[in-house]
Amino acid sequence: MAKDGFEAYDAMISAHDNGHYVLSLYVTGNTPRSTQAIVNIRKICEEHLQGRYDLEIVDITQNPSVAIGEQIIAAPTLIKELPLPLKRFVGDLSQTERILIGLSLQRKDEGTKS
Amino acid sequence: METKAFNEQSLLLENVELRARLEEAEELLRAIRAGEVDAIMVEADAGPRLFTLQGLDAQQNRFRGDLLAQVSDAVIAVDLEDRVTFLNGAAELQYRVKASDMLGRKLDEIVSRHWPTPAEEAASRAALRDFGTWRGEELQRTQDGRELAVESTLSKLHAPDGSCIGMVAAIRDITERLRINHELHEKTAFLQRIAEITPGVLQVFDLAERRAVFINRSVGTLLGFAPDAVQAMGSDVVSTLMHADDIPQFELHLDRVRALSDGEVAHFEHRMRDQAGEWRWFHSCDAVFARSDSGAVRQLIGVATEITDRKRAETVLREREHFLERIFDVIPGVLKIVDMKDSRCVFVNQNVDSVLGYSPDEIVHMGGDIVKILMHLDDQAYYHQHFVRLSTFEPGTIAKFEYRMRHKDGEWRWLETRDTVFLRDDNGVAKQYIGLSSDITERKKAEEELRRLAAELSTADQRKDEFLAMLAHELRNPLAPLRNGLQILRLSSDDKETVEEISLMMERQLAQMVHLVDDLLDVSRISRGKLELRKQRIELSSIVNNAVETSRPLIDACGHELTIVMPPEPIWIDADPTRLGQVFSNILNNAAKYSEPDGRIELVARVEWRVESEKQVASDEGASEKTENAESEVLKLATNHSPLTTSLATHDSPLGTPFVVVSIKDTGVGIPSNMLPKIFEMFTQVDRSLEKAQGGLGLGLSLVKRFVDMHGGSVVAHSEGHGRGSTFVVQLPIASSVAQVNKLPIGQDQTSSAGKRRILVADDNRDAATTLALILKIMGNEVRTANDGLQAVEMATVFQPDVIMLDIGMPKLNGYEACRRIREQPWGKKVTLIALTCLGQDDDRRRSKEAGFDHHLVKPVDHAVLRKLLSAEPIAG
Repeated sequence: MAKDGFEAYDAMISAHDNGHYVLSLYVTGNTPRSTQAIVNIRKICEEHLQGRYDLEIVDITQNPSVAIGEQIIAAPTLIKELPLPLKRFVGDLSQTERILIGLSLQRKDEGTKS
Repeated sequence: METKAFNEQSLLLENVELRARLEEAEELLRAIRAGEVDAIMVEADAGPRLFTLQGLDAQQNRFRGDLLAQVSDAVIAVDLEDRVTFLNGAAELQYRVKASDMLGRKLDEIVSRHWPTPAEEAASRAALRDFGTWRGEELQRTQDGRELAVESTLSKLHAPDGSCIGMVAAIRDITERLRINHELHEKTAFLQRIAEITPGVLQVFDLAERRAVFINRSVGTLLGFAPDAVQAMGSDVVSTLMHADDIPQFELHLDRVRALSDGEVAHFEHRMRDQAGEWRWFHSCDAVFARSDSGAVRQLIGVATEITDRKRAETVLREREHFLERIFDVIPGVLKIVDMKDSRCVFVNQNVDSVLGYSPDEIVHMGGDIVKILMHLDDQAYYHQHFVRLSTFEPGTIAKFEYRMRHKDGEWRWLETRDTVFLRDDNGVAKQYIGLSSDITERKKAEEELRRLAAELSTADQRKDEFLAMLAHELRNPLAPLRNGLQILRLSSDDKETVEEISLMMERQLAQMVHLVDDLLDVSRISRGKLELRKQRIELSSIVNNAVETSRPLIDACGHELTIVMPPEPIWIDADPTRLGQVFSNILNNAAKYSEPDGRIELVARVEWRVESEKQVASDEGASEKTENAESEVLKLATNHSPLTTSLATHDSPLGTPFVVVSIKDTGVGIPSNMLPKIFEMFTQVDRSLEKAQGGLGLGLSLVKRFVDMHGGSVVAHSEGHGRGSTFVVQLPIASSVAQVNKLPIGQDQTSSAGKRRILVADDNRDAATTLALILKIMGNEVRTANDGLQAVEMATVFQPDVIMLDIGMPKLNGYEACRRIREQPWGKKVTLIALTCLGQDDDRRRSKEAGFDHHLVKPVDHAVLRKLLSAEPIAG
């Protein structure tokens, strides 16, 4: 969270206002699942949240203390910080439908539309 | 109620929260179970720890990942939608991006590809479709605006079920390589240009394959072969182009090249055949071009420049040098090149050895001291003049100079040199001269000899002139008394006493003239080698007595006292009595002439012995020095009066050879020591002013010496000097044995009775005929005269004489012919025929004898001889 208070506030306000997403993906270097997770989340974001998301990728092998602070237990882990409520997803994010539901981007009944 | 509502809401919220936590936990467990998790974070006392999950699949993946992470090529994988699914570290570096930023993005957000032509793009797609892979070079533009030249390998990715799930690209940045390639290309082109414009043949030669790997175009200009043609010769290139004689040297050259360090150059000169078959000379500079892994030289690079012209010039130069050397060898004389700074000899040919005895090296090593060491001091000053002349003369002028140099053996050699300036500096100042010196020692000697001879001849000539003047005088001297005598005879023919006295005087004068002429004839005969000795075994004393008798009148006339001492025993010698008599009488005459009146003359004979080996010493030219030596070597055994034993006649004596020494000593004017060596030479007289009344031609002693020499003896003269008298010593060998005794009839009876004879005298000189006839008549004969040969024969026929005296040189019929005719007559056999002639030689006597003469008389006829002769002849009956 390198951004200062104003920006974070603005982002939160705007996210709240505009449905802006702030996502953080915690990975362990170039490991396969982590790589896969990055590819998958970026693909989801590009398809569903184009222009209204921030994706931050954090390598916990570089910053373990950050992982502790965010209560990361396994990698890769994606945290949806906005819009609230905060939500965590663990794994390589390859189950796109579940992720979309979890991100409230698709209702359960929408099924396998994409 | 509010609280209850709050609590309710609070509980509800808590419930939602719990459910969310639960869901999270379920999600976590599901993910772990599904293998979607790489690592688990655990809090521990020491801090957080990350545990990596390592399933079989994970491990394989990780292995691949590590592998891909470590390769230097960029590796990017995309899915079917061209989204990036993998990006290795090399790709992050190459495109300056982070993998986490790029994963899941479209590939063209990282890099855009540029195909040179649409056809190539189509081709790559086709290759991927058909073969699942494509490899090629392309240009890429990165997000930050760079252009990369890359070599890409694209491969389709397949899921385990075989369906295509994307594509992986290995991308190598070849920008640098291309740049290097380009530079290399430029550099190569640069070198290529250099190679092409090099005037020499530039080649890279492979030592193992023995062929030209590269050769430039100059080979075409120089040898007429195209570079391709040379390369096509392959390993035959050396044997085809190089001269066979140079190939062994070439192999050695290759060995040298093999030993070269990098950057070193080896040189080699050789011949190459051009396309026309002509041989051309080349100079090669070769260096190492490539080495094998082991460091051995694999290829050489070299430039060969043509040096045919230089070689040709060298050959011409060598031939010229050779030519010059031969010239130096065959040139007669010493050829030298001298530095004019210090007279140092910088070159000299071999001939100097034969002329001066020094080798050329020795001469050169003498440096500038050569003049001081070898040149005659008297010539050195002239040499410096010569030197100055040389340096100031017009170029090309030859200066001559004659000088002496000392031979190594110490003798002086005359040299004649012809020098000319050979080298000048830029200012025209003479620096070196070249000269040819000839040994003219022999010529100089000959010149010297010639000069000496000329001087001698001139002296002799002068003496001859003096002699002729004297001769005229001497011949004229008796003429005055003779003419006077004749006058007196005519006037006082009745006065018998006067007639007798005058006749004696006239006879004396005549005898003197005859003597003079006889001497002249003898000298002439000796000079022409015509004089012969009529040797006989004879006793010395008879010869001496005869000589004394001859000289007595002169000695007595001068009032000298003569003493004669002879050994008591007879001494026999083999001699011509007449000539040996002349020897002693001449010496006695000399003694008489060159002494003041009333002097003393002493003649002593003695016998001495001489050791055989020293025999030759005593006879010499009369040099006083040698004479003394000769005398000192003589063993004086017999004194003047010692009686000789009978063994004298034999030569068995261990004492050596016996010989007789006759010394004639006078108290006269003596002989100056400087004249002693010369007195036996012809025409020599010590002092004409001392000439006595009897005169003389200066021939006497000359004849003495020659006659003694002809007898195998010697004569020397001694004198203490002017006014102290002289001694003449004659040595003669003694006859080996006494065989024959001849005695000269001494003091013959000249008045033997001459009977009356009929005598015919023939002479074309009427006076001569008449006077002779008158004398014969006075002697009591009947005489007729004839004036030529024919008349003589006719008159003889009529007159029938007992004796006929014929002159040889007569007109009409000469004496010989007249003699023959007379002898042909019956009466002519018994007639005594006497030849009258001026010719007194043996040859003349032989001729007259052959013609039939009984006797041969030389004019003027001595009346005593004539009387004796006639008295011996029988009177014709």
